[in-house]
Amino acid sequence: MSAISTSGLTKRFRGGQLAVDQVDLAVPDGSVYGFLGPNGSGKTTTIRMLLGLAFPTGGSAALLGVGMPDGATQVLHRVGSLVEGPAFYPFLTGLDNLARYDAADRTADPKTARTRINTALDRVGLLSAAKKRYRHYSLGMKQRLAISAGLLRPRELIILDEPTNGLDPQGTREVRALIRQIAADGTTVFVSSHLLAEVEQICTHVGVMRSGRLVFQGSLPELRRTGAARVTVQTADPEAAVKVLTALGLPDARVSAPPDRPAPPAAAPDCPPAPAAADRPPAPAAADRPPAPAAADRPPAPAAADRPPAPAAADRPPVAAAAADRPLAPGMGPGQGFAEASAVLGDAAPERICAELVQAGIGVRGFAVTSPSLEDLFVGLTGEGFDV
Amino acid sequence: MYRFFASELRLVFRRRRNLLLLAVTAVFPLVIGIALRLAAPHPQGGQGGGSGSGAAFFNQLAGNGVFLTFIALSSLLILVLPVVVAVVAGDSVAGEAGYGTLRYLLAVPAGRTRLLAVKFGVIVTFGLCATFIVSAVALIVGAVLFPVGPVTLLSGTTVSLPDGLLRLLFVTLYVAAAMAALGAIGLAVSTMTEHAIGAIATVMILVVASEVVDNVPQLAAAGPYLPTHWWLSFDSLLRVPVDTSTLLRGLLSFAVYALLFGSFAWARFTSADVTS
Repeated sequence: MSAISTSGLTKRFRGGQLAVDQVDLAVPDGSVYGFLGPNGSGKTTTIRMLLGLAFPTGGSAALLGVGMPDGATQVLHRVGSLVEGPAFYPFLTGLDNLARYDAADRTADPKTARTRINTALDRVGLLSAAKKRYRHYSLGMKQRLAISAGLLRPRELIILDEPTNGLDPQGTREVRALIRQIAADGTTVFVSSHLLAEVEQICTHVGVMRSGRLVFQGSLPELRRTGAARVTVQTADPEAAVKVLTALGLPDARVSAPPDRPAPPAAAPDCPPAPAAADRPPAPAAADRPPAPAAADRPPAPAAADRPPAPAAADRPPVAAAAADRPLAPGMGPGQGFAEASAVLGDAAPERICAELVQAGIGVRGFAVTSPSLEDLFVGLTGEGFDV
Repeated sequence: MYRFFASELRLVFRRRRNLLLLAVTAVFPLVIGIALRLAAPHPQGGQGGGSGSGAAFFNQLAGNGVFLTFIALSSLLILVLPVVVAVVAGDSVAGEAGYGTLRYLLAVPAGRTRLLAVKFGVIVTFGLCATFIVSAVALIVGAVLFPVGPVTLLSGTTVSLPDGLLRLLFVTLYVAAAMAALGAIGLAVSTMTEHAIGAIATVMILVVASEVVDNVPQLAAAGPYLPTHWWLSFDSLLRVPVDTSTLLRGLLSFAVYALLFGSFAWARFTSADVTS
C-alpha cells in the first residue's frame, strides 16, 4: 500500500494559475520520500491538498488509503505534519502550545497527554525549554517544536514541508538526525525540500516538481541512473582528446572549462605519454575540426582562443616524469593547469578509452569517470534560473 | 469535544487582552454608579429626564440600587459590550489564520465543523461572562451606594426584591443572547480574513451602522430587521405583565441572526482553502 497516493491531483487557483498540474504521487510505505522542486513549483500546495487544508480542483489524493479531504478527520490523527514553517501562539509556552494541539485531537487520550507531550519535547531536545514562552524560542527551537507537534502520538506517516528552512548547519543536522530516527521506527516520511544535500543524505525515494508538474518519481538510484556518467580527461590538449572521444563514438564530447587549480601532481600511472604528442602542432577548437584518426596526420591549424599554444617539443620534458615541481610550459600560469575534455561514457569501457587516448598521442594527465551530481540532475529536470 | 472546548476557553480567558476587556467592563458600572450617586445625592431627586427606557431607569435608580444594573447594561450595550464580543469573535478564526495555527489545528485534525462549533461556544461563553460581570458589579455597586428594597418596575408595580433579582437574571440572559447573535456575526466575518483586526473593525462598523440606521425615523421600516434593534428591549421584562411579544420577537431576531451567520460561517469555513 502507498502511504500517499494521488491521481491527477490538480489545483487551479481562482486567478486561473495552475499551481499543481496532474500530479500522480506514489509514496511507498516505509520510505523516506524527498519531494523536490524549486520554490513556487507547487510543493506546498500539493502538501496542503494532501492534508485537506486546500481543496483540489481536479484529481484525488489519499493518505494511508483514506481519501482526502473527505477523510481528514478519520486519518489525519495517524499523520504528523509540519506545513510551511512552525506556527504557535507566541504568548504560550512550548508545552502549552503542544497541549493545545493535543486537546484539539478528539482521538488522543487526555490521561496520557502530559507524558506524550513530554516525550515529544524530549525527542526534539526541547524538554528543558518546555516552560519557555514560544516568543523567546530561537528559529531552530521553533522548527523543532513544530516537528514535535507531529510526534505527539505514534504516527504512520510524517509530512514535513521544508523542515530545515532557515536553520543553521547545526539545526539542519539535528533535523536530519531526527528524520532518520523517525524513519528508523518504521514511519513513512514525506519531506519536501529544495536542499539537495539534505535529500541525498536521508531519502530513499524522490519526486521532483517543476512548475506544478511531477517531472520525476522513483528511488534515488533510479534518479541517478537518469543522469549519464561522463568520462573526463585532463590534458594539455583537450581538443585532440575531444576528437578521439568523438571518434570512439561517445556522445556529447566537448571541452569542459579548464579547472582553476594547479595540475594534479601526477598523471594516471597507466597512461604513459606517447612520443608522438611532442611533435604535434597546435590544433584548432574542437567544434570546427573533423575527426581525425591520428594526431600525426593533422595539419597545423590556429590555436583555440583560450588555449595556450603548445610548446615546442624540445622544451617539454617527458610526461612520465611529471610532478608538481615540473616547470610550467610557456604561457601556462599555475592557476590554469590543464584543460578538460569530457564526453558521455555510455556503454564504453573506460580503460579502453584511456588506452585509445594514449595511443592517439594525447598526454593524459588525469582520467576520471564521474556520475552527475544530484544538483546536475535536479537542474536538468527543473530548468535553470527563474521560470516562475 | 469537551476537552477541546475547555482548552480553547482557558486560552481565551488567559489572554491578557481579553482579561483587560473584562476588567474594563467591570469598571464601567462602578464609574456610572459613583457618578450617579454624586449627581443625585437626594433619594427623591432625579426629576424630569426624557422618555425612553434608559431615562426611565435613571428615574428609578435613586429609589433602588438594583436599577443600576439596568442602567449599566443599557449604557454598555451601545458600545462596550459589543466591542468585547467583537474582539473575541473577530479574533476567533482570523487570529488563528494570522498566527498560522489554523493549519495546524486542522491538521491535528480538529475538524472544521467541530472547530467552528468550539469557537462559537467560546464566544458565547465569553459574551455571557462579560454580561454577567456588568450585572454583578452593578448590583454590588448599586447596593452599596443606593437603597435596596422592593423593586418598583417601569409599569409602576412594585415587586419583591427576589422577584426583582429574578427579573435581573432574565434581563442578563436576554442581553447575553443578543451578544451571542453578535458573536455569530463576528464568527462569520472572522472566517473571511486572516486579519483579526479587520474582522473586529468590521463587526464594530456593522454594529454602529445598525444603531445609526435604527435611529433615523425615515428608515423606521427597516428597524425591526436590524441586528441591534431589539437589544434594549429587555425593559419588557421590567413590566407587569411582561411584554412577552416584544421579548419573543427580540429573541427570534437573535436566533435568526445567529442561524444565518452561523450557517454562513460554516459554509464558508468548510469549503475555503486555508492558505495562511
